[in-house]
Amino acid sequence: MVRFICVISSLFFSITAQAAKENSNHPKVIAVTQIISHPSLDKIRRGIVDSLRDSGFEEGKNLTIVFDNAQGSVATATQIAHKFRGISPDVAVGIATPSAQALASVFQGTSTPVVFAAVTDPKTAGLAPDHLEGKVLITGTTDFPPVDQQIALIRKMCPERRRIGVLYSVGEINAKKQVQSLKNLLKPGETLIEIPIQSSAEILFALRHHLPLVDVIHIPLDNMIVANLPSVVHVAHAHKVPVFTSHPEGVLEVGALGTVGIDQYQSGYETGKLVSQILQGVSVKKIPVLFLKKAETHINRKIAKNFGARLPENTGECP
Amino acid sequence: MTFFQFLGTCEIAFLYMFVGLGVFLTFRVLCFPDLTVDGTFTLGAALSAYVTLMHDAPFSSLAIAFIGGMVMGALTAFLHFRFKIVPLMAGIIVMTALYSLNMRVMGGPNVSILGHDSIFSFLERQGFSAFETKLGVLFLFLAGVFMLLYGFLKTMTGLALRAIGNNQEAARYQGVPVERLTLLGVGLSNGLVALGGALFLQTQGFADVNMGLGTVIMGLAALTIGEILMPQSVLFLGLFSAVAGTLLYRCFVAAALNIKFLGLSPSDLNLITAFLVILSFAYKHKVSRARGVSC
Repeated sequence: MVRFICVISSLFFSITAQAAKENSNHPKVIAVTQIISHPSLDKIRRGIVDSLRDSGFEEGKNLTIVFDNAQGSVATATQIAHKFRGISPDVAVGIATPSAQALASVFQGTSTPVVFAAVTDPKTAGLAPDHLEGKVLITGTTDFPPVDQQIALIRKMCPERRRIGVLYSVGEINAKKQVQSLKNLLKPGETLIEIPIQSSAEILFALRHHLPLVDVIHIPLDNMIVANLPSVVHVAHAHKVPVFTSHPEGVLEVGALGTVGIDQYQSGYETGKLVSQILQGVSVKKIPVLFLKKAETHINRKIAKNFGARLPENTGECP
Repeated sequence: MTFFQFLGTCEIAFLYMFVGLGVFLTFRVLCFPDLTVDGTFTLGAALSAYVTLMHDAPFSSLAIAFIGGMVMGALTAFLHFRFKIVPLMAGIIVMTALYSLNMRVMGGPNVSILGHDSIFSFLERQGFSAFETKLGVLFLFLAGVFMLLYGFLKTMTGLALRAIGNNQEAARYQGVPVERLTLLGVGLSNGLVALGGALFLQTQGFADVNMGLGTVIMGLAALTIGEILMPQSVLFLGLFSAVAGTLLYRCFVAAALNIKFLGLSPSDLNLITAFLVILSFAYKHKVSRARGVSC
């Protein structure tokens, strides 16, 4: 048995050593890691790849992309970061906060630039470039949704609905930040009712419990809720409560009433632009963290009619 | 696998060896299947982050993490003895409570000390490279804890602990205070795991509320690998196999990250882990039938 394991492991080692060697022959290598498989994060990754291609870096031609998914395990995310450091790519990209943090920690003291995406609050996450100056070269994009515009849209479309229920998962720092910002924007007479959930199994239970207490549901950029959005919208509509989301797909694909948000693909595309700048030789120190601002507003006319909501002017619409 | 990846694997393995030792203590020495560790690993990191950020005391944060883990572990054992809750269930209860508690301690679902002073900072300022410092300090910590634990299990108290695991009733008839010692043993195990979590925070610079997910199962898989590799005839080898098994388990993970073309992907890792744990129980079953012991 001992011998068996020795053989197996030495096999792995030799195979992987070869694989690493093959990689280093290509002119440009980028290493991308994300914390978990999720529609939003996958879109960001696609955006990065497409953006690189549009800037002249095509995978398989003059670019090798190493991609690893940590499958939700922080320990694996750290091991992936070490693997990347071993490959020493031209740029390492971390999608979502824990993956970006793992890269920032492991790449300390190297000259490999780290680029993060889908990090809502780089400062709290300890990823701000000035905070890490002299330790690691880092930049990235942050996609904090425009909460002021979101609440303005709710006021405009449903002025009589003043009890806003926010459904979010307590385990996600992005969501938590948005809830705090929303609270600060409330006007007198408006109340914000938090509907926090711990696991995806609780979503519908918590939602049904709170639906009689709220006039409208708002959903922040929250990976766990967004993954279960169709059933959330279905249940809320059955209780005559409209749903507002923070990303366009909510309206376009699932049938929420309205949204102001940054398209995740676009956020990945912008991140890809940063990466290609670095690949073209621009110094990372000259590339500040990009705060994505270009939010899209979408409303769903059919649902708006059902709820008797008012239609704001000049917005992207959905039949 | 590149050399650097191997060193990185060692670094993670050193951290999870504390988990391996903790899980060995509950599952093997005490025969107390304890799931609290999924929560206490994160608790250790959370407490360490809190003390580091608020009081700038990275070293004392390790001690506080250890004590915090110990208290929660003892709580699990207490629930078991006081209310006759089965150990597995008691562990799940405390683990569930810890999810919320950890969030309180961290002040949110994710906390970072990147850029702050860690336990390694003073050595790094002396000119040692960050990576070697981490590996060296972690190894020293591990060696120290390993020897202390070994020494402890050799004392009369330690011997009594092992007796509880072998045959609780017989131990009780010999006058061993089973309840009190189990409290101590499970506490110690969780203290070790929390210490591992705290060191994780210090090395990696961040803690996430979901980082403890699957800690116990990883620990068990590591134990299995160690047990298959070497005999468990003496205590030292048992402890050593927990440590060596962790390193090999982490090598498996690293290999899984590299062998995509075989049709395996990292998402299959949990399947492999589960398989290893089944193997562990099958192996135990076989051994216990041969020796006539029940655990």
